[in-house]
Amino acid sequence: MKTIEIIQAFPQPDGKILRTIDKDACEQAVVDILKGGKQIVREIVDLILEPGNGDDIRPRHALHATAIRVGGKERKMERKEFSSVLAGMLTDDRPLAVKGFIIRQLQICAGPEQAEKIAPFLTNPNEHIYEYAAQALQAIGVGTVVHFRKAYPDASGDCRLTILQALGVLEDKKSREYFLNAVEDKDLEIRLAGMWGLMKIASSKDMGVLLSQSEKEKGWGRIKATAYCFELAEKLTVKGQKEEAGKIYRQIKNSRKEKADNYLRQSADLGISLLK
Amino acid sequence: MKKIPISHTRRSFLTKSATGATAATILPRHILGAPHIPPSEKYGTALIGCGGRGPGTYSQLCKGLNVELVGACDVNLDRAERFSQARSKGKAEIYQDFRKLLERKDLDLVAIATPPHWHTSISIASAEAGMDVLCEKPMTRFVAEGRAVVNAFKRYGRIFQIGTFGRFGRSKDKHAVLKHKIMSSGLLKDCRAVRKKKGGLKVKQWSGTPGIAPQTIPENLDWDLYCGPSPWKPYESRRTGGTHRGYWDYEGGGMCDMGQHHFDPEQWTYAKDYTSPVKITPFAPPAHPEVTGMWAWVELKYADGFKFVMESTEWGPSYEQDEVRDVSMNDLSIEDQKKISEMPNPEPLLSFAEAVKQRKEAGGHPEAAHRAACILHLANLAIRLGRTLNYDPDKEIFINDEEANRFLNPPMSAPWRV
Repeated sequence: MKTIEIIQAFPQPDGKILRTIDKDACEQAVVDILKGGKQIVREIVDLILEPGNGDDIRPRHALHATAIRVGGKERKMERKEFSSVLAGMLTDDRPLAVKGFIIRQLQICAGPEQAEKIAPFLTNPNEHIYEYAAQALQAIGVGTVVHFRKAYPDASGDCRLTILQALGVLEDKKSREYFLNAVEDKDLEIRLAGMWGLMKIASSKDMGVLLSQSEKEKGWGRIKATAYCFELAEKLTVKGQKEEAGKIYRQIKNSRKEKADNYLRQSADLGISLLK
Repeated sequence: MKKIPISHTRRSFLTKSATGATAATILPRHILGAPHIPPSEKYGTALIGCGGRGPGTYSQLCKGLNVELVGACDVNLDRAERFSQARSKGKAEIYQDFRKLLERKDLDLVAIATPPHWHTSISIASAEAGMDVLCEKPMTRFVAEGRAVVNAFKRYGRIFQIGTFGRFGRSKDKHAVLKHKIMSSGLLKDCRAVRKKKGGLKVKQWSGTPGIAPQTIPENLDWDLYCGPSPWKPYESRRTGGTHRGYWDYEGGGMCDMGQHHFDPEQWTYAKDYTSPVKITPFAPPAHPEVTGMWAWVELKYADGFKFVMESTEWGPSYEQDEVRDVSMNDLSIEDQKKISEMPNPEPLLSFAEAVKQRKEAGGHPEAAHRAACILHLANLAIRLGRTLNYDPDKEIFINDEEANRFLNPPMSAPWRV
């Protein structure tokens, strides 16, 4: 069966919505796509256009349905093959917006084996593809951290912030120096991402840095930085480092003297009471 | 009227003790020293998200409280301006970015009525800034967000009330109270009750429209800020202004729009405020990547055997897998029936206003709101994934299903994170 015939199983909007969808036909189409392998997947991807350049509702729906349906433990081999074919298309000559869509499907189905193909987009500032790449790699998991570590030194602007945050999401202890340097950055969001990363890796060595920076920050920065101090204290408590957690709470209590900070002093008291 | 001193409002602590970062524990209701608030004093308030439900949500926030609107915030400044004019004759300052609003020292209470993809980040930031929150439903966009909100409100001793109120009526209804007592007693083993919600979930109304070409961003809209924690997408008007409900990026269809109204009271009645279903079975066709669509039914089974069923009635076959059946005293032995009759009634649920004044937990508190939102998220995930999912309600992850788990905590766009 030809690709164009297979994807006819997916509906066009009736009125504005996809109300005429036929479950059995769509499920069979997914089976046919997986059976057809590399060639059919490529032909579907070829039908996907940049937004605004024409109708590609059916191929987008078909590709997404396949990415979702290859999940689940019974389909490990199919998932591996499909993801590998899809990731291979990221090196083709295609519009960035289409590659962005492919990456978002890989976020659902890819494994660490496909990370190498996604990672080059981490430092591409165009059309938010760095964001899609970072989110896909974070979803794939901790095995992808090496790509973030490698990309960070060369990244700038939004790409840099996104990568730094991803290193925090993945709780990468080896990125501690990146986090520490970020805390001294002139950009507030980079500083906050650095503090958040330090909180996520939860080392008592960094509590002084977090506390001191939280006292320097003003306004929104102070609100968030203080929150990261509280969260670090909770993480240290869970790790059994109650003495260190207590120091954080006491420092917050002693340094937030304004009337408006009463709730912070009370939160610190609550934290201290839970250490007993 | 005199402005309420800060130490008496947002700076007074919730009379609860947190019991650990992730514990889902019913906390004792005792007073930690909340000051008496003279009725002549005012709470400083703000609304974040001034379109659609915004004004109604703000009215709910103010009910029973003496308030003064000090801020109106919306990514579309025109809306913030309109709301400020309507409710304060323009005296309330307008903001496009909620971060600036939350820096104010005279703010005590915040109503959040943005699209749901923003609920978590703004709720948490409000708690971190010392404010009590009334947040529109659905509480969150995905499961992990809810746990983060619960933890933040415990950490800061703030009050949170979800913007649905059906449980308050249930908690005063003698039939619902009896069911609540039976279910919370632990005496009912192997529960065979099946509660079906037939229709009312606006499946077609809030299905999205795929394939719309990108449009020019309106002058007063900060589109990047609108997208916020959700993946950035080219602007198209249907992604905003109510029709946002039809996109996975922002809400999750009629399921999430209406589900918390339907299932929050049910969850209270059947004593499921501190747990979630363990097995979720859907009947739905493959979903579109961007827009929400059709589904027929979803069955959600709890560890004790109790089932919620949603039947769309708008597409596909009806649910015939099990018979609808309620719980009753007849399910118990005579001896256990006697125990139920002797059980005290549950404590009355506190309204948001009473919770704020007494510094006690509100009836629609974060844990309950999170668990009710989870019913919708788990149903939607089963619909999207097209297979039966097994869920661990304590760890809040799917069991042996790595791909499904990717949907429980999808990465946010920087600088937003939980």
